[in-house]
Amino acid sequence: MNRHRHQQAFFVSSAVVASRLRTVMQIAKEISLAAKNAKAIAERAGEKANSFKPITDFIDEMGRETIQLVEEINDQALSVSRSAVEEFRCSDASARFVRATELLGDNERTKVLSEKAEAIRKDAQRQQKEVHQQAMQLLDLLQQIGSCMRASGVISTRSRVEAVTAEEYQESLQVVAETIEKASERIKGIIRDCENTIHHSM
Amino acid sequence: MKETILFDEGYQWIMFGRDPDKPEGIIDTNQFMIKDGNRNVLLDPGGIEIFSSMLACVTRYADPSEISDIFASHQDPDIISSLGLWDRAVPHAKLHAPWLWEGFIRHFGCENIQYCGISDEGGEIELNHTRLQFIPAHYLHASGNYHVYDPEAKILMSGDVGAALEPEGAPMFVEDFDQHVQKMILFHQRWMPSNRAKNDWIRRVRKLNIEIMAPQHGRLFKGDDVKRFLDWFEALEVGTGIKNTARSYA
Ligand SMILES: [Fe+2]
Ligand SMILES: [Fe+2]
Repeated sequence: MNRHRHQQAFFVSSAVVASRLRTVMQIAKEISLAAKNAKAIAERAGEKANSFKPITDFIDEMGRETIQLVEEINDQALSVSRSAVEEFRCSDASARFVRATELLGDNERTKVLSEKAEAIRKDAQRQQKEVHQQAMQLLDLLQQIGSCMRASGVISTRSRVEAVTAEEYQESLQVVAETIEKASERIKGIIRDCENTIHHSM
Repeated sequence: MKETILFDEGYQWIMFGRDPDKPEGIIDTNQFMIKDGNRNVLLDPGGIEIFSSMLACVTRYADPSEISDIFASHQDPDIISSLGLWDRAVPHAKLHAPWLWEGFIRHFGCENIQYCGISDEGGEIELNHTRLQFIPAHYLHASGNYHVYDPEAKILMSGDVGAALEPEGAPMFVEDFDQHVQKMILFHQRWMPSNRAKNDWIRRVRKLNIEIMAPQHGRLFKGDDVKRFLDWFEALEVGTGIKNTARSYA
C-alpha cells in the first residue's frame, strides 16, 4: 500500500502547484505592467533612453510569455492530478481484486479472478507511467518559466546600467528595472518550490 | 464472510454477511445473491470495504461473467459504493436502481455497467424460474427506494426496513421478537422519515405472501415474525429526529 501513499501525495501536490501558480500569475502581470511603464518613460525620454527601449520590449514579452506559460502549467497540473486520481483508483481496485483472489483460495474459478486482478494491475501500471510522463512535462514547463525569469533578471540588471544615460529619467527607469528584478526573483523562488514539490512526489 | 442459503428449490437465494474482514467502524450489512442458471443477481452488493470478500463469495457460486444483474435499493454507500469495482468485475451486467438516484449513484463509477432506472411505480425482471418484483418503498428511508419480492421463494428483501443494530456475530434469524425490538427502535424512528409512507408500504406488503423478510442489516424475520414486524412497525411513530431540534442551533 506504500505506492498508494505516494500517489496520494501526487494528486495533492499537483493541486498545490496549481494554487502557487496563481501568485506567479499575479507577479507576471506586475512585470508586464512595469515593462509598459518603463516603455512610457523611455518614450518620453526620447533619444536619451534609446538603448533602454529594446530592453523594455523584451521584458514586456517575457511577462506575456510567463502568463501564457502559467496558463499552460495550470492545465498540465490539472491533467496530472486527474491521471493521478485515476491511477490511485486503479491501484486500489487492483489491491482489492488481489485480496478477493486470496480470499477465494483454492477454487476452480481462482484463475478467472486472478486474470482480472492481473489486467487491472497492468492498467494501474500504464496509468502510473502516464502520470510520470505528464509530471515530466509539468517540470519542463516550470523550467521554461524559470529560464524566462533568469533572462528577465539579467536584462533588468542591464537596463539599470543603460538607465544611466537617461539623465533626468534615470531614477524612474531604475525603479522600474528594480521592480522587475525583484519580481523575477520572487517567481524564480516559487518555481523552485513547485519543482521540489513535484520531485518529492515522484 | 458467512453464507446462508435461504431458498433452494430449482434456484437459490444466498445471503452473505457478518464479514470478519471488514474494517472497524463500518456498519455490518447483509448482501444477497439469487442464483438461477445463467442469471445471477446481486441485491445491494455493499460498500467498497467489503468488495473483496463479496467478490470472493460470489465467485464461489458463479463465474463473474454469469452475474447478469445488480439491484440497488437506494443510493446509500453501504448499499452500492462498490459500484466502481463491480464495474470492472462484471462490466456486462445491468444495474437496476431508482431512476431518481441515477445522477448520484453514477458518482460511484459506472462506465461499463448499464444503469436501468426503476420508475416510481416499481417494476420486475424475469429470471429462469421466477420473476422478481421491485416493490416501491419510497421514503423508507430514501426518497427513491425499492424492495425485492420473489413470489416463488416468498422472500421480501426489505432494504433498511427491518434493520437492526446488532453486536458482531449476531445470529441470522430473529429468535425472540420482543427482545429484538430494542435493537430496531432507534434505527426505524430516526432513519425513517415518514409515517404516511410507512403506513402505505405496510398496507401493500400485507398483501404479499412472505416466508422470509430479509433486511440489509441485522437478523432476518421468518414465518409469524414477519407479521409481528409489520404490526410493530405500524404502531411505531417514525421521523423523530425533529424532536431534538428544540435544543438545536437555529
Ligand atoms: Fe440506507
Ligand atoms: Fe443500510
